Amino acid sequence: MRHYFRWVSLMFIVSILLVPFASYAQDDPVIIRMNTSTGKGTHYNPLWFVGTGSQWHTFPWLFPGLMFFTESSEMKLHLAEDMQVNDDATVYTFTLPADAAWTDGEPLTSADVKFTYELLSNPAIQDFGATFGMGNGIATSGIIGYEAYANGEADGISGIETPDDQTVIFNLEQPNGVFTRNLYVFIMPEHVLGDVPVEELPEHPFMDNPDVSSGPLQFVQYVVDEYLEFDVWKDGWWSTTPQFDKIIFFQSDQEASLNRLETGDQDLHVYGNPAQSERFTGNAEIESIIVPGVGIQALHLNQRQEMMQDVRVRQGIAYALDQDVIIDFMTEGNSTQIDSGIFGPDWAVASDLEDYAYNPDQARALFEEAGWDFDNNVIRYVTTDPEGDLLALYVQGALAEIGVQVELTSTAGGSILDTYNSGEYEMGGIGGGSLAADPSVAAGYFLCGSTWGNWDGYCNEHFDELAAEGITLVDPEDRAPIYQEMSAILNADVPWVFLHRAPVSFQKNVRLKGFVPSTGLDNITWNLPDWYIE
Amino acid sequence: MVKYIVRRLLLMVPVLLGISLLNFMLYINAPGDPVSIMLNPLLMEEAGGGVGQARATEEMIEAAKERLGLNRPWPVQYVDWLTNLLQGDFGDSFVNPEPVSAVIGRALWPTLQINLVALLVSTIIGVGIGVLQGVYQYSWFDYIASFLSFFYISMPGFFLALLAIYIFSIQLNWLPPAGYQTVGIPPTFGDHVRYMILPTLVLALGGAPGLMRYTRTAMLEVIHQPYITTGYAKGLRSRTVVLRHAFRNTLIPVLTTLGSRLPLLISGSVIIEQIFDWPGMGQASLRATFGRDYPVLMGLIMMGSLITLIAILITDLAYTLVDPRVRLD
Repeated sequence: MRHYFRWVSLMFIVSILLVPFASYAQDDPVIIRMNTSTGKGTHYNPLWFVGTGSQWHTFPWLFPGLMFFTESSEMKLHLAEDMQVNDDATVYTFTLPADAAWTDGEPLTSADVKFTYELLSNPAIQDFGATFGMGNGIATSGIIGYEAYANGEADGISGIETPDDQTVIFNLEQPNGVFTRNLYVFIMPEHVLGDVPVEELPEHPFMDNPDVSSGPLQFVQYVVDEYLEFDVWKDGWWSTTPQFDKIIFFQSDQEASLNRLETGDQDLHVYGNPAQSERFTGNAEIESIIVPGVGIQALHLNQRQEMMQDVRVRQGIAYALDQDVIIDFMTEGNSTQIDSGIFGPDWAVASDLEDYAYNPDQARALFEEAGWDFDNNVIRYVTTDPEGDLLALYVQGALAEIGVQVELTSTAGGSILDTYNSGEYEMGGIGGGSLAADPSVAAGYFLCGSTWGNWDGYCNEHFDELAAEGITLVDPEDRAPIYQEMSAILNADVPWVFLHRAPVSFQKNVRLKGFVPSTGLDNITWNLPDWYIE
Repeated sequence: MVKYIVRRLLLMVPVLLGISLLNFMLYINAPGDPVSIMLNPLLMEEAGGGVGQARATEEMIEAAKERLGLNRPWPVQYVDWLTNLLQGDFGDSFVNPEPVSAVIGRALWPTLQINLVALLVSTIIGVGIGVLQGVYQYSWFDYIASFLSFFYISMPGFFLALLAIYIFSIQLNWLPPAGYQTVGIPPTFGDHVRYMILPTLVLALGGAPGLMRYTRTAMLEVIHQPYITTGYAKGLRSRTVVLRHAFRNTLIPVLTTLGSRLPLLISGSVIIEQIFDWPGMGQASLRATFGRDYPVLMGLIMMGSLITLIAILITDLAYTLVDPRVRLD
């Protein structure tokens, strides 16, 4: 009896131990798994959009906007199937597909578009924290009637017309050739949210479970801090139905994501850096892709401080730095030098820009010419990591070679914004953005008094005049000479020391096909319906 | 006994108040305020939608501080927080618009799972081997077990975790390297256990060696006592002498060690959870720290403090069970 009991116990223990290995064959649906940024939010809804980078990549495929980005961050038609612009770029007319519909069967019409734009113009939206997503009014400011609506003086935005179910017309107060850059706004279902008072939106079930959508993906669940899960809407109206069944976006850190990729539990790794590709050298299953991005790597120079107000000092800093060395240690050689804040698309960049090739003698001469006090002037380089910021350490060493003192100062707790607002610094590193997506985007960082990144007090009135003229034009042939001149101004003024394009790095399993890398981080999923697993 | 427990519970109140005040002071004086972190322009770039976004202005920062109640004097903030806490309300997260209790509720069960199993495994391994080491002192078994215990004590947990991932996930492909379960398929118990194995194993291997050493030392002190020799002389079986007479008298130091581990059941391991992407209390603490999400941090710390005090009380009570000579009064 005792003998029998021992055998039964042994078999029980063995079967328990085998349980974990018994579930391998259940992975029937075709699933694409990828990581996403660590920016997370508790809710899955574009109206509540603070620090939710994870969600961003999925919104365009559940709530498509009129337009979305291409792989190079230019704008292309997305929900809309046609766009007409009048000659002076004040009237934009969009046509929606006649068969566009929501997953609950309701037609998606121009009324939904108008509803969404009016909703995000509602000041009350901002009261519950939707500060930087759709709810900041940027997309709608400039449309006739926006101000009156936002101030509560009108029931709707008069400049948005919907003559029929498929047509939306935006009438602008002033010519705006780049109005389309604001049209990625995710369109919400009026029949679901139309009757909900804005104040009650935070508690509305749709905020956590958007069970009505219009794009090729459908929301399944958001497990906060873990992953987002979506099914493909197989019998939807979208022109390209994805050839997979599900897609998962993990909200994991870099190391966990790379481990999953290496074991085959994940198909795509994004938000990485070029150095990570070395890990997969010789691994036939993993393909590394590094492309020069639309973002920038630069040193910004605080011209609110007297030390940085002389252009010769700023140029001297540019000459003192060896860009090749910087590109090597920051991008493993995977980037290209830039010489202006306007560095893309190619048609917008002047051809004869000074490249500020490494020349310490000239750098020293420029500092001397500017009357630099080598003994007493100390440049404060602000960084979140004085001991580990390689760029800061390199700049400190390179400028020391020409006798210029640099002190690395900590932002004390990582609050770099406090430091910028205080103005108590001369220099700092900056990276990212989408400056090369369109020259008008880059220009925004250098306009006098702009709150869009120009915290260094740079101001060139002629540059501003050109920028104002530039945005009124639609045709690249008309825009080119203006933006080329602007790129030359930035090249000469050196408001920032322009270093190189921030590279965008991806690692993917070779079984993932159809993925085309984007040059920016806002549009990683730009062609998601074309992805498939081989 | 009841009187003693009530007295200890009452004593916890001023201790918890002191902890809460100290923590609140630390959070008030910590560098970097939560609003600036939330509205950091560089974070905005990372968060997607860089095109068309404005950077945070002073007005936005002030408005956010007003909304979060951070403009009020700190004593007012503290009293408000404490009043809510006494009513069972931990407050709302700064980073995400949700109650702190929801954050804790979400992270508690995953942490409890791996830590409970790890505690069980490490106790069985640690105490079991420690007892045998005491009985077979200076044997090959003792030498090997001592070597392994020193090896695991010396090895940092994160390294053991990376090593485990490298061997069992990347090289052998037996177990998943990260996560809570396979996402996208219906959840099964077996699948979930596969994800639990590595973090649990690492936690257990981290906890067992200490217990092993404590138990071995305690056994060695007991095993040479006259009453043990008497037991053998009376012809008692070796197993009876060791388990019934020797082992029972080693339990006080073992219980002390185990008691000190009980709070880990709730507070989790930041590093292990981070490496294995395990959605528990450790990860929640880390994110709250980076995001200066002080309500969440305060909630987690208060939870941890409460559990620690309760664990100490349970340990003290357990002493009376294993050793009748211990009097609580």
